Amino acid sequence: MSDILIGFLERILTQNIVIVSLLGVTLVTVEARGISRCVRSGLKYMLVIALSAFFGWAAQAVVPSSLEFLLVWIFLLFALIGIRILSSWGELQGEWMGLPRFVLALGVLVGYPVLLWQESLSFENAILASVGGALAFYLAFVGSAALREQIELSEAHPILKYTPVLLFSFGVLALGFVGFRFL
Amino acid sequence: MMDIRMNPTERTVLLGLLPLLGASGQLSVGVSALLTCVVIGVVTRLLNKATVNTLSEAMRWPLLFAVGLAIAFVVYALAGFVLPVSDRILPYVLISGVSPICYYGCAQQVSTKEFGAVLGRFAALILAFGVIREPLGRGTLAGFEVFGGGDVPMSLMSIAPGAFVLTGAVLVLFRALQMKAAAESEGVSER
Repeated sequence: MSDILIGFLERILTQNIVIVSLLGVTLVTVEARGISRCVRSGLKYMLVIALSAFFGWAAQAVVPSSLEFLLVWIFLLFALIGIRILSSWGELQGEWMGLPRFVLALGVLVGYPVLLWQESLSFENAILASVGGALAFYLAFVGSAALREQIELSEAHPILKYTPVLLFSFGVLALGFVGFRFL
Repeated sequence: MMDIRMNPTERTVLLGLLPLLGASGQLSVGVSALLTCVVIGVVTRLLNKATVNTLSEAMRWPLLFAVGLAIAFVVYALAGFVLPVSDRILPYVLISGVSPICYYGCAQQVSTKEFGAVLGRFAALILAFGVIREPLGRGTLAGFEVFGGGDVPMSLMSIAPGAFVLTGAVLVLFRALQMKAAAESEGVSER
């Protein structure tokens, strides 16, 4: 297997930004409802995550090391632009627990560039990480919507239904993904 | 039938899910993330009160996030020097700065008492998670060896699967307690 393919698979499996790196977990837990809706809206999130990660890497490559402390605000700026784009596409509308719903997306849109900042990536690896990370989010988002639909149909005890079962399922999935560390 | 899906603990877990899962693998990182969330929560609540009538929503929220990230960055930079923390989970202190729990105090119709209660529950949860996860997952507590001989009883607890399972178990426990309390109060009222 080529290094590029291995790197790409690592981003999707062993470094999955939702299941293993835990970044988009709040967004996925709250927003992933209805498979048919999530298949479409997940593509929008995927595009925005890929762009914010890539532009975050580009900013990191351009900003001199003496001004590196500014990077977190640059990541925030890209995240807010991404949120504006998502809002114009009809996502993240309304409120969640009294907060504007877009707060849910900040974890992944700011967090992923922060994690990539810790690695010194080349141009091609940055593209790989951006696309791979976004695809990993999409898989987790749609998978989570499918899980939630099954949970709604199941006759499980109310103590276990919804969030606890979803978290246990994520735990099992994470175990499976971490098992691919041999790659 | 009563709705047990949104008890106060579950609300707190959902609001602080990212730091709870990501930063509780080591007690010192958990404490740093907790400090980040509390300071951001208090500062942004005050800032929100001061600007709510003067700034529009489109200006106010980015300002609150920028201030929150500045606080998180200071704690992240200091924690790296002061505490014995793993480089792998230290970034979660910084990322905690954009967690919904930090900005819950700025939410509409959230009283200071309610915000304080949410932060209190979050503090109890993240400290408990750190005390459970670090010894089991790393064999240490606050950097000191617990079991001797470098034993790590359950290394799974230091990574994502352990965090998910523990969080799920805590939610189940609190739902069960809530159902039991509701059943007891129904029994008392019937008598």
